[in-house]
This record gives sequence, structure tokens and C-alpha cells, in this order.
Amino acid sequence: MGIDLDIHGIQPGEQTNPWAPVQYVSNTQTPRAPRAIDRPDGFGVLLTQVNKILDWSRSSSLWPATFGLACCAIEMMSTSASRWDISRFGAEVFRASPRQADLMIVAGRLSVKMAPVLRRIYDQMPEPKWVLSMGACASCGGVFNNYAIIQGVDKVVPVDVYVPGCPPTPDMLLHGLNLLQEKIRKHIPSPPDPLAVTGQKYLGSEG
Amino acid sequence: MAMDIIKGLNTTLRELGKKPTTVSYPEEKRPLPARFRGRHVLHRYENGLERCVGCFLCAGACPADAIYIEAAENSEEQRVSPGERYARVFDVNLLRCIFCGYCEQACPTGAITLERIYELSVTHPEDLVYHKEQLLEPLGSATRGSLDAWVAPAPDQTPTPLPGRQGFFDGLEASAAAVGQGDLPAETEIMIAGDTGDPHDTGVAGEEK
Amino acid sequence: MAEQPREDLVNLTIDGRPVSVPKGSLIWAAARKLGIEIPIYCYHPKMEPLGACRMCFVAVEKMPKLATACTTVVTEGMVVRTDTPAVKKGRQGTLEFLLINHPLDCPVCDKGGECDLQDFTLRHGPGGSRFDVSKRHFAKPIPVSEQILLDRERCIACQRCARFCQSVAMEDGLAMQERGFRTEVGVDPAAPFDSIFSGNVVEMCPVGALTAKSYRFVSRPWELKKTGSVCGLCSVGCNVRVDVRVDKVLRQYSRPNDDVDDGWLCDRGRWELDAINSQERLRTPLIRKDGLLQPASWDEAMRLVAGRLREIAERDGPGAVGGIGSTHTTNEEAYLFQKLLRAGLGTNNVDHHHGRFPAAAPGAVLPWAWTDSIAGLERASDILILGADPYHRQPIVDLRIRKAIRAGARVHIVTPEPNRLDRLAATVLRYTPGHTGEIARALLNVVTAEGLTRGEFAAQRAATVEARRASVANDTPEQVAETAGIESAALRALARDLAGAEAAVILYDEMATREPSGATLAADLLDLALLTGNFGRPGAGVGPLMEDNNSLGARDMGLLPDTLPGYRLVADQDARAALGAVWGATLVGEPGQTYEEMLGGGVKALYVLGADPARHLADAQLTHLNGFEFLVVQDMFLTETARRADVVLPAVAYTEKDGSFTNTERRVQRVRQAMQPLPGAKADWEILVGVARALGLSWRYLTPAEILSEIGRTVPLYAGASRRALGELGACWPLSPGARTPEGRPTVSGSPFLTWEMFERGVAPSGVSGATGAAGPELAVARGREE
Repeated sequence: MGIDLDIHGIQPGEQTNPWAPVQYVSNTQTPRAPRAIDRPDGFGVLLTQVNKILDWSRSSSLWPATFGLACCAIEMMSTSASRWDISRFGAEVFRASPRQADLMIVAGRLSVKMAPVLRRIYDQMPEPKWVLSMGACASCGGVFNNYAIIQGVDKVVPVDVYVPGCPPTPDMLLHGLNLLQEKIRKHIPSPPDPLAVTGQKYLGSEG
Repeated sequence: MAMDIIKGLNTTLRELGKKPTTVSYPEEKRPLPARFRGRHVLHRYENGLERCVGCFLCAGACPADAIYIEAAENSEEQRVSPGERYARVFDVNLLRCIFCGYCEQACPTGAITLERIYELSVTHPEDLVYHKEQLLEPLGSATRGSLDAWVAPAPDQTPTPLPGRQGFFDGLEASAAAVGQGDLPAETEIMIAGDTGDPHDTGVAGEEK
Repeated sequence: MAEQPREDLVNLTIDGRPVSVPKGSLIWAAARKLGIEIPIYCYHPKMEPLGACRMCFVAVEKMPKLATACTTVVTEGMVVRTDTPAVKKGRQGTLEFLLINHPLDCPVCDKGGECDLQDFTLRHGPGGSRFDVSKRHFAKPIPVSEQILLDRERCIACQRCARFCQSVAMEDGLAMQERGFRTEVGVDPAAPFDSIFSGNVVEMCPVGALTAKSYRFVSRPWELKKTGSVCGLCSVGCNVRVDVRVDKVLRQYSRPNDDVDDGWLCDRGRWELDAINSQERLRTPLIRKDGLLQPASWDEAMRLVAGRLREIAERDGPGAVGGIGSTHTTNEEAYLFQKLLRAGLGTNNVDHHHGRFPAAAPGAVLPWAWTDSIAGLERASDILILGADPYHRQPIVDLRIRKAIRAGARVHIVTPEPNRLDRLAATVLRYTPGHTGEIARALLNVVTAEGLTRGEFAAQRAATVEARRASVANDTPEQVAETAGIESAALRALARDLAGAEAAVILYDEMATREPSGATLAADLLDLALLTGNFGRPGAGVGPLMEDNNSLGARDMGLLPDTLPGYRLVADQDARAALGAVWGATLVGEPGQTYEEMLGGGVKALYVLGADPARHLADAQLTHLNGFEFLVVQDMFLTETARRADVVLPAVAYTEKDGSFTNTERRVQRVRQAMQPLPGAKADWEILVGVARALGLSWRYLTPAEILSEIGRTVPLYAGASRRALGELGACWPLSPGARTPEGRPTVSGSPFLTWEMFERGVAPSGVSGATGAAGPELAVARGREE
């Protein structure tokens, strides 16, 4: 029956007013997956240090999957060219195969028809993997608030970093990349998979 | 064959002595163009009152529907802006925003401008809905923001002259005429600039009609 | 609209285009017919022309100066131009003058975006001003009434508001003060502006001088989503435009439908929308667990409702289950509700809180409805208001009565309480509350005893007239005067007035029939109209003013224990068989329990939809309400009844769903969804379909339009009704399918007034005709179509 909205205010058995309104959010707010909570790292000193090295290595060699959907991809290409030189962060290796990539830069608006493809490519990427949503359209639909465009790729894949802009300049994208590196180094997990949360499936996304 | 290699190496050697073009972004920031449009800022008057009167014109102009306003009435006890009305809630969804600057153009009081703040990435999308408290410039500061950059003529550092002013046929006028607007004067003035009262004054000196 | 005879048309040309309009039309109306805009400020199509603003200048050939289009009547062969340089210059001049003192505060003005001054300045204005002087300033805003604020700086002295108060509302209110450039709108402190029609001046103000307090700085027109719908706050069913911002209804604007509201709207419909926007509304189904109502999922709640209802119906028989419907829900929902109980659970225990009008003859079921229409009031010569208060309960009917008064009608007010129309009435009589029925009988007594009967109906049925005379022989005005405290001579005079009237309309309040003396009120007044010949033509008729927005529709749809939809008796074998065939169920032939019987403990499980019986019940009956084995309440709020329920299902308001309402003049009108439903709540019809499916019924309705089409097929009164056929304006039942439009859209034709033949063919209303409740030929036709 879709998403069970988070119910505030009433605890089962609590002797409060049981007929108080149970949801105070506005109609327009999209129900989103709850925020991830940092997972407690209960492994000793050695593993923690190994984890740190692992996180540092991962953050310093992010290999993006080529996923340019629209105009944002031009700026993404520009970011990888000499003026901005994304290779300074070890992320210059744009891979044509998702199986060799660990970062998906979703650059452009995601149409409903493209969503299963995006999801399939995401599923094909090996763990650990991250998603960076580049630009207004990928992040929330942008100006395309219509039936054809998914209102944010975070409805399909878990998004780690949102970069605003239409399109974001290479500086903005690099800022987002740095933020993602920081996030990886701090070992902050990705948000939960939206499809796992909502129980929805996209056709062809099983692969 | 050998000539080709020499040719190629020639280019390499020529570029070898030059400074690299790469901008070392996080440490070094490139100089931004004068009309760069980044995050919004809401401005104040010198006396600390907010310029915004909550008129919704920016929200009406916004093509992405990124601005949400709730207006309220000023009272003598709690005066937020001059006049009757002020914006009680002013949210800009920067995730929706396409940084087009229409809000700036629509604003009758010069309250909202797009400034050179561009490092905006976040990990949670809710954080990109900027509220009035975040958008307002701090109390005590009363700037005009990038308005001046827009009122002034196009800056010199623009690498190419503005389209349509190059002295050769580039199709711009022709397409304007095709939709029946060929005789309209170009809009180079914005509302906030001193109005000369002459609708045909395009603000560009020496231009022939 | 009937085609005008050719000799009544005047031919003229405007901007070189020929047009024919009825004699006496104004140039403005002729230009409007051609789609040519002539800007106006002071003129309003529903009011007399004034010619004060000088905005509507046009050039008429052979006239030396510019003429005002809003005051110049068309003549044959007139040549009008609206685009000459002189006209443009005239308009520019007028606007330049108007803008001398009008402040340029459009960004903070509530009218900005829907302001005539703004629009016309953009389209016809000069673009600049030569008056480089400081503007006038006043203290602002001044409250002129509890809900309206006046900003004198913005006023352009068009006098629309003052003329509305004086000539349309005919009440105290706004008036023009001072002379010359000091002219301003004001209120006499001794005569406060408290009219229920006051909101109309805000809507018709061409500038932002009069603004609504509730809408102050709330939104701008371009932020609003505007949907044409029907107001759901009283039984008039005014056509409105619902203005929604994001998730709140901010206001309702009038949407002209001359047959219903004449383009006006009352303040209640305009601003009293708090219930829809309330934070208290239910947002999740609630199920009682451990004695407390706790949130549950829709699936769980619907399954529980279906399971428990079925369990109790199987254990104690279908008679142990009952349903109480609502007079607020749409026709579709009322229809589904009784279908759920009749076809799904096999019981006739379905009623609503007003119940049906008590019948004059036992067994007869009566579609008491206003036999004339609201627009028909304008043609009446006499209007009797008996025990009703249209000003407070059906304000726009009251406004139409005022229009009738201006057209020369005489109004007779016989009410227990003072009435706002008293000042304008020809007769004002007061009586002790609760004696409305006796007064009706006294009027009938005078008419029969003094031999005042007239008309074809009375002439053909001398025997029934005699029988009627005998039945009210004891109710002479003199006797009623003693009990009801009314002047007998005046009552006699009133009866003679009605009998001698050219065309009289008799209006009474629906609730008066619930009084102890009102058992036969509806039948008596119908007979009074029949015997005095005030029946069966526009401007003559009789009828109740209903209480709620769908009081009539709920009855039409069979929310009654003894009738199926369309007032066919449950005892009627043929009607049952026909409906049962469509519904795929065998229907019970015994009438079910009434509202009182069910609440008195006659059933074990009760399904309450949109009603709040607990609020109207005495404490003794409340114990019964607590004693139900299973109580389901479906409502927007946690009402008194819902607090006692086992399951509460959250419903939505009329602005959040599609459907149709039937107003007090029998007009079936479409309601349209203006906003997203509240998250967590569902429309009543959706809930009913969900419960029915949980019960194992194969209901496949996806939209209310499908339900309406089924109503159109199964209910003879609504024959041919469908979402597309009803269109924007609706039609009065009995409906019949009309021809398709050239575009292929189906239509229905309504009946603006009921004739006696319709009563005879349909369900017989009273003892006068001697007809029984049996179905007539019209029903047979419908039945043949179904089979």
C-alpha cells in the first residue's frame, strides 16, 4: 500500500490524545526515505585504522561511470578536461562499463523511460559505490516538473551528494566531488536504497 | 612521417614553457565573471529593514517554481520592512533553482540578487532549501549586490561582443522580425535603473535606429 | 436560449464587423458579443449603467464626440469604432487622470494581478504620466466591516460597491460621500455594513480599494490554482471558482451561472472555508485497540470494517446492520452508500439525519422539491416565505427575492423570528415557533372555505377539493390565531392575496416539516399551490428551502429506509428487480429502520457516513450510541460520534473530490476536484469502493464519473446524467437525455419547473390526486431500457 508515512505524536498505548492529527507535514512534501544514521564501528583499533586507509584509498580513486543524460554532461566533460582536471582527485577514469566504476555522476534529467536503465547500471556497479546527483534536474526534476521526468534520481537510486546548478559549473561539481570524498573518508554510509524502502520495482532493474 | 612527429613535438615544446591552464580549484579560485549568478541573497536598507516586501513577483517570474513565500502585515510593534507588507516565509529551493536571475529582474525593490556563492553541494536535499534567515544579509550590512553589475553596460572582459552587435548578419534580427518583434527596441535597461522616460532609449550610446 | 425574433434584433457594425443584438442592448454588450474588449470600471453587467468612469469611450459615426459604450443603446445601422486614434487618446486621458492619485503599490496590493486598472492601463494606457506631483495619502486600511478593509488611496470612485449595496443587496452599507475630487467610499456609523453579501463588493471592485481581511497578503492571483466548482456550504449550490494555493483553499470567487446565483456569492461561501483548511482534520484511519483509537493502515481498517459488518450480518441477520448517510456528500457517494448496504449487506436500514418528509397519505413517498426554480422567482408577483430564513440559510435565494422585489413582486413573510426581508415585505406576520403546519392548514382552510380555488386543476377535481375542505375545516385562522399567536385577519388577507396572485411562489423551510405540527406541511402547501393555480409555470410554485448542500440529492439517491434511488418504493417488486439486475443482487422488499430506530438500538452494527448523530441526541440516546457492537464513522473530523466509534475512516472535503450535488431547486451540478486530497484521507466514494471490495463485491469504479453514469442509467429522475452531459451549468431534474452537440458531447435537458403531469406520471405526491405511490409510465420507460 505504498509508503507508510512516519507517524509522529502517537505512541501505541500512550495515554495521549489519540485523535490529534498524526502528520503535520504539508501536502506538497514528498515522503522521503529517512536519513541514514552513522553506523557504530565497533571493531578494534586495527580494523579502524585499516578502514581509514581503505576509505582514503577509495575516496582518492573514484572512477565515475559515464552517465551523461543531458546538458550537465557538457560541464562534466569540461570538468575532466585540462582546465579543471578532475584527475587531480583521482577521478579522471570515466569508465564505459559500470562494472569498473564506483561513482555514478547522474548528469541531466532522468526520464521515466530512462529510470530502469539508470537503476540497472547502478545495480551493475560493484560495491562500494556512490551516486552524485549533478544539477537541478537530476536532483529534483528542476524546471521539468512534469509526468515524463522523475522528480529526483533519489527516487530510484540512493544519492550521496546533491550538486545544485543549471548546469553546475565545474567548480560546483568539484566541490561536490570533494564533499563526497570527505563523506567517504568519514565513513558516512549512503542513504538507504529508495526502492528497498518503498518496495517499488522498476521494470528491468533486476539485473 | 618524421615531419609529423616533429610537428607534433613542436607543439609540445611550444606549450612546455607556458603556465598550466589548470585551476587548482579548492586552493585557488578562478576569477568569476562580473555577472556570475550564484546563490540568492536578500538585502536590507541602511536602517536594517528588509528590502523584500513579500510581493511574490520573484515567485511568479521563477520558471522552476523554486521560490515559496508567505507574506504578512507589518505592525508598529514589529516592523520588518517599510510599508505594509513583508515576507514572513521566504524559501528558495536551490535544488530546483536554475540560477536564471529572473527573480532579480522581477524584484521591484532590489531585494533579491544572485551572488557569487557557488559552493553549495550537500548530502541531504532538504539542506538546499534556503530559508529567509539564511538568505538575508547580516544585520548591519546593506549592500546592493550584483544589481550594479546588471545595470552597467556589458563588462569589457566579455570575451566576445554581445550577440547582435558585431556588425555582421548573425540571424538574430531576422528571427526577431520573423516573429513580428523586429521593431521592438532591445531591452538593455532594467526597471531599477534610472528611467529616462523614453521607451525608445535603449541605453546604448551611438546606436542607430 | 430561445432564438430572438428578427424584428427585435438591431444590426450594427463595430470595427467593421456586423453584429445583431436585441433591442435595448448597450454598445458594450454588442462589442462583447464580438469579442471586442471595451474597458469598463463603473459599469457592471448586473447593475444599471452609470457612466461615471468615462473609460468605455467609443467613436460612433455621426456623433460629434466620443460616446460611452456602457450607456449608449444600440440603434439600427449604427457604426461604432473602438480603435480610432481619438478613442485611444480618450482612454489614455481617462487613465492618466485615474492614475493621478492612484498609488503605484501594485506589488503589495492584494488586487495586483487581477486588477482591472492594472490590466487596462497595460492594454489601453498611456505608458507615462504628465502629472509629476505627489499623490494623495490617507490613513489605511480602514475596516468598513468585519471582513472588508478600505484603502481610500486606491479608490477610483466607480461607485460599483455603493450601487451594489443600494440597488442589488438593498441593505445598509457602503455609500459615496463628499463631492468632486473629495468623493470617497464610506459607511454610515449608524448603519453598519454587516450584509452577508458584502464580499461581492470586494470581487467587483476594479482596483484594490476594497479587500478582504481573510485574504489580506495571503497570496497573489498567479499563485492560485483556480477550479470551477460548486459551493458546498448551503443548498443554493452557487457556482464558484475555488482558489487554492498549494494545500489550502484561500477563497471562493463567484462563477456566474445566471440560473442559480446570478453572478453573486455570499460571504459564507466566499470565506468560511476554515473546516477544509483545518489542522484538526483526520489524516489516518483509526482503529480502537485496548479502548483507544489508534492509527492504522487503510488496508487494515477497510478489512476490519468489511469483516465485522459481514460477521454481524451473518450472525444476526442483515437487519442487524444499518447505515446513516449524509446530506453533505455527493450524489455519487450517497448512491454508493445505499448500494453498499442494500446490495452488499442485504438490508434496507439506511437513512440520513433529516429523514424523509412525512407523507400525507400512508405509503406514499414524495419527492417534495421546489417545483419552480430560483430564476423563476423573478417572474413571481407574490412570494410567501413561511417559517424560512433564506437570508441566513440560503443567502443567494434571498438575493434573488430582492431582485424579484425590484421587479415588482410582493413578499409576504410569515416567520417566528424577525427576518432581514421584513423591511421590504408587503406583509409581515409573526407566530409562535413550532406552529408552521397549522398556519399552512389555516391558509388552505381560507382558500377552500371561501371558494377561492381557481385554475384547471381545481376545476376538474371538485370532489377532491371538497375532501380537502373537509379535512381542514377545523383549522380556521381564528382558531390558529389562538394557538399560534398570529393575526387571523392578516392570515385571511394573505390567503386571498395568494389566491388572487398572478403567480405566487410559496417557500418554506425544510426543517419546518420536522416540527410536531409540520407532519403534513409539505402536502398542505402543495395543495395550497395547486388549488390556487400557482403551479406548473415559471414564477409560480411551491417548495422547501433545503438545509444542506445535498439534502435533496441524498433523498434522490435513496438514503431512505423505504425508497430506492429515484423515490421508488422498496416494496415495488419491479423497481427492485430492475435495480437488482444492474447491481447483481437480490434486494429486500421490506422497508428498513429509520434514523431514530437505528440510533435507538435497532441495529448492532452501524456505519455512519459524514453524519454526527451524537451531537443531536439526548443523553439517554447517547448510551445506545455507546452500546453498538460495531460502529464505523467516516468523516473529516473526529466528531462526537467518531469518538465513540470502533473504526474511524478519514474523508475529504468537497473541494478535494469530483462528484455532483443537487441543490434546492433540483439542479444537478458538477463538483470538481480543486486540490489534492489531504494525505492519508480518501474521498468517501473511494472508501466505499474499498470497503465493498473488501466485502467481496466486484465494484470497479475508478472515478465518480462512472458512478454518475450508472446513476444516469438506473435512476429515472437522473436519466442521461453523466459528467460530460451535465457540463458547466448543470440541469434541474427530472432529467432526460438530450441530443448530442456537434462536437459529440452528450447533453441532458432539465425541467426548470415541475408540472402536475410530471407528478402524476412519476410518484404521486399527496392525497389530492388520489393517485397511489405506484410507478407511472416514465418509470416504465426507464425500466425497459435497463432490461
